[in-house]
Amino acid sequence: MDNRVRELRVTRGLTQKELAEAVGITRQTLSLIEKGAYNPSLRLCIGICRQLGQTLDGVFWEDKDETD
Amino acid sequence: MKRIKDERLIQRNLKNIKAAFAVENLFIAAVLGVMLWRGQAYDDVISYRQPLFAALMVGCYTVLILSVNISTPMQDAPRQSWRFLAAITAGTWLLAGGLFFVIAGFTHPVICAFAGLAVAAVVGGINCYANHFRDRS
Repeated sequence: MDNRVRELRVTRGLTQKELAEAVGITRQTLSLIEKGAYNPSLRLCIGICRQLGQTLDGVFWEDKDETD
Repeated sequence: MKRIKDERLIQRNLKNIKAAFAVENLFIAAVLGVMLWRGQAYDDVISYRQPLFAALMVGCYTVLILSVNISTPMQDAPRQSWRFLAAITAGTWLLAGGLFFVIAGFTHPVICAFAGLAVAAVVGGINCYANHFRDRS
């Protein structure tokens, strides 16, 4: 699942390790989420959004027009 | 040993436990197979006196009973009333007790009744457990 986690994390000046620790996951899991190779649970999505100061739409929403 | 908090690693850990259970049981089954192949008596190997066989059966029965919490929600049947469950349990007791009485040659009615009660308790217990996973609506 594509997302903007990496882009927003870099904008906030956070490393993968820092964001992963803040959310309570490993750096590897965060890396997989950023690559779209792992689908986080809703709870984890909300936790990531909270740390990035964004809503779910802003981080994880997929625009169907762009993907078609 | 650190507590796992990462959800992906928790899922992986559960898969690891599943794999370990399968490997362990396959090994036990293989050992029992080798014992039979080497000529040990069937009644000695496939018997609850054989600890390996008993361990294998305990694992199998555990999986069987726990699988009720998967199959019951899939059926999506409505919840059964306590009266219905009690009736099923009582009917099982009569049926099982009666069967034991016939097999025992119409002797030892009290022992047969207790044996039937044990069967009914297991059946009733599993039905109650399954009912817990059915929807009220």
